[in-house]
Amino acid sequence: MKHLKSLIELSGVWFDYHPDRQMKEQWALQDINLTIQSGEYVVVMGPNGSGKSTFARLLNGLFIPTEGEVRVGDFSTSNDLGRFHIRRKVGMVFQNPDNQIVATTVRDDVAFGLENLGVPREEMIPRIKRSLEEVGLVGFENREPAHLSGGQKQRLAIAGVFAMNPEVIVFDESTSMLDPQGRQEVRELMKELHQQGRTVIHITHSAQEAFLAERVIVIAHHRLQLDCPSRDLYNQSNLLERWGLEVPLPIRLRALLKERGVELNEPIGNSDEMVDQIWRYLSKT
Amino acid sequence: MNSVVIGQYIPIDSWLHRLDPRAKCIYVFCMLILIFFANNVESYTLLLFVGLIGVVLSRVSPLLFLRSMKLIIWMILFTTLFHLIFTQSGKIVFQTPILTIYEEGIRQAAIISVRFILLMVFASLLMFTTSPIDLTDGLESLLSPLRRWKFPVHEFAMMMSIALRFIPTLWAETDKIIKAQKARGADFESGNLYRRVKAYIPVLIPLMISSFRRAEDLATAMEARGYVGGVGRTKLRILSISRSDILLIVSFAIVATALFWMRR
Repeated sequence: MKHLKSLIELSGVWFDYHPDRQMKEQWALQDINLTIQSGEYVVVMGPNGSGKSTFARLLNGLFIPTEGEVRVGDFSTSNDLGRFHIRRKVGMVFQNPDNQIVATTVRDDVAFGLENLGVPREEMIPRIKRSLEEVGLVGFENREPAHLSGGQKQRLAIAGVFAMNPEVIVFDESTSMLDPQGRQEVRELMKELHQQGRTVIHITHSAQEAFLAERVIVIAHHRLQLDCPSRDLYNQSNLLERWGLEVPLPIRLRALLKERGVELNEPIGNSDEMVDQIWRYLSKT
Repeated sequence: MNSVVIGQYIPIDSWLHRLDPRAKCIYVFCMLILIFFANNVESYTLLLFVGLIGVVLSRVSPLLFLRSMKLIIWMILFTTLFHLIFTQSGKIVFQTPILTIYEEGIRQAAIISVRFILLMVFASLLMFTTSPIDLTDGLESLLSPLRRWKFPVHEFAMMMSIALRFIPTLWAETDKIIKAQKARGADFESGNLYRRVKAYIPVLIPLMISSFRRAEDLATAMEARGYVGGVGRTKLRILSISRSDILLIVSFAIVATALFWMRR
């Protein structure tokens, strides 16, 4: 295991949009305590309305905790100067590919974040080029966003974030509105960003995507319910169902096999290992 | 689909396309004023000739200029008729028991028609050769002195460019909503004008609601990318005055001088 340092820290975070009108037991997020280390790949799962998108927006100061504190590196999201630095460190890709593109051409859109940070023009040009290479949109510089596919738009949004060179990239259900091909493209980019040493936080309601990550956090009923390595999920299928989450096929298969008396005892971390074990089981009988 | 809305710009390459948008804006603005100073055959011929050079240099098909004239043809016909009927001075050219046409009437009608045509040619030259985003940049730069009087120049330009960005998106969405309403039995084609306009209400309301949602999403996305307004921002797009732009301004000075000399 590489040496990790704590990057994002939520301590005693409570949040609600209208804290004065709601009972505290009904707040959108309740008592979240969490540390995310530099270089981690975390999936945050939860059913609709569980507060997971709200959680994402606490990470870069789009929302500020009603109680408690969110710290990123040395800064707190609770003060203005801290937020400006945090936006530089924590990039965010949203759900709707159309509604996060600001400029009229691909090149201008990648530049948008850099312009906000006050990056000089000479430095902007190579950074834009590098970002478009990263997401595979070279040659699209002068295209209008309306002429891109959903997956391409989402890759453009990633390029815009990548150009700002953040330490953390939060994907807020960024794959949910894409077709299977676009989804695959975005997932591969996430993996690559993680391999480069960036911290990737992926908010999703698809349990299937949980296995792409190393660590899974489940938020349900406005609270943090589970925080474990993704390979431990295999033993938690009943819990997933209880929170209204779709259970991925390998996990369901394992549970159903168990009911039939087929015990796969070795720990399973992904579907390949599952296949291996079934083969081994079959060859034994 | 988009060509319908993103009005007029013709994306080809020409000397006029490559000029700085600010130079073009100033040139056309001054030219539109200059047109009102022309008052005789020589000066109008000069301006028509300049306009013709512009059309040739833009490499835009003359047919498109003719098509843009369609917008003002009724205005031209109406004012021509108005002057022919109501101007009553000079020699009588043509007389019938109900209508008398005077020489001055013909002169006035001709002047007004040519003025309209010239205004349209120069305005079209600007719109055909300058992309909307260049136009926005140019306006932002030209208006920037107004910042001293607290006019929100940056916000104004940002608003324009976001509007341009979302026109195709909203257009596609309108299309989608119309289809969805048709599938539910909405009828957009029959009935009188009032009924047809009313049929579009179920299109406009969902469109408006989704626009508000988009606006909110976009504002959040802009904030997440560190947007805090115009202060401290740098720009990728830079405008630079080249020798061609200076040439354009010099050419205007020559035309203006010639015109005032012709006026006497």
